[in-house]
Amino acid sequence: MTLVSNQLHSIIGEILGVDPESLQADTRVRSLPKADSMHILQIILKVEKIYGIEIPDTVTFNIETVGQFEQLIHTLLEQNQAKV
Amino acid sequence: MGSNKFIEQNSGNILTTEPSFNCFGCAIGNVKGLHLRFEEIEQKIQTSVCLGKDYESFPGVIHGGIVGTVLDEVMAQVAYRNNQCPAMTIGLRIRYIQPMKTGNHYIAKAEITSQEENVVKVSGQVESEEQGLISVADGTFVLLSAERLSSNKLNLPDTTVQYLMQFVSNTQEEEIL
Repeated sequence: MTLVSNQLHSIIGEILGVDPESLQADTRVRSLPKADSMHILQIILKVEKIYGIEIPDTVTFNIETVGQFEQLIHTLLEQNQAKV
Repeated sequence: MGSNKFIEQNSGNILTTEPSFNCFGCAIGNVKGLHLRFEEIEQKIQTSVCLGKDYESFPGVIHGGIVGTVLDEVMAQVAYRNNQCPAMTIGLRIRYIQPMKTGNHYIAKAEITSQEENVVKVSGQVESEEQGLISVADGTFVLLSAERLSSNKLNLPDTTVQYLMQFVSNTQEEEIL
């Protein structure tokens, strides 16, 4: 697991009240208990704060799996580095 | 963060009670306005809000633009009160989570997240005990210092520049005293 993966699993686990180690790349975020729009936005806000990235609004409604979320973070971090 | 003395002086409020001030968000004299009042709690500025049918989009739901106005207002207030200088919005991102309901009570709060010279970044949110988080926002505000007003690169109307210059000048005099 990468650092991003570990941190993302911890954030999701903390906000949705699930065991971070139970999360897999193909785990569907919306299938998790407590996964409504408010909790998903809380996850997004925390990720934005930790990584200094801006996640598009569409992600709140379109994100499917934990793996997709992790990939998005990597992509946005790369874009940020390219700007520097 | 701003001193309690300053908050005390302005919670009255210099801007909101001044006769020619007609802000839709906070001016007391604007009959169509929201009449928001502000208080400082744990280094945040907050206001309570409960809106009626005049501010609806769908029946029972407050218009998203009005929710944005409440957020913009409370965020501008935290920038203004902590710098003793009027602040103007130059960027605003709002994320809506749940509807603000007509006739329900909400709290909007804001805090400064970073500041570089005259540019202040602020986060804000609207919430209620019953519903939880309603909406969040990130805003960027420019402080309207005397220097910035003099150059007027923001293309403000002349009357606005004169009004704000007078306000900034009065605030500086109070600081000296």
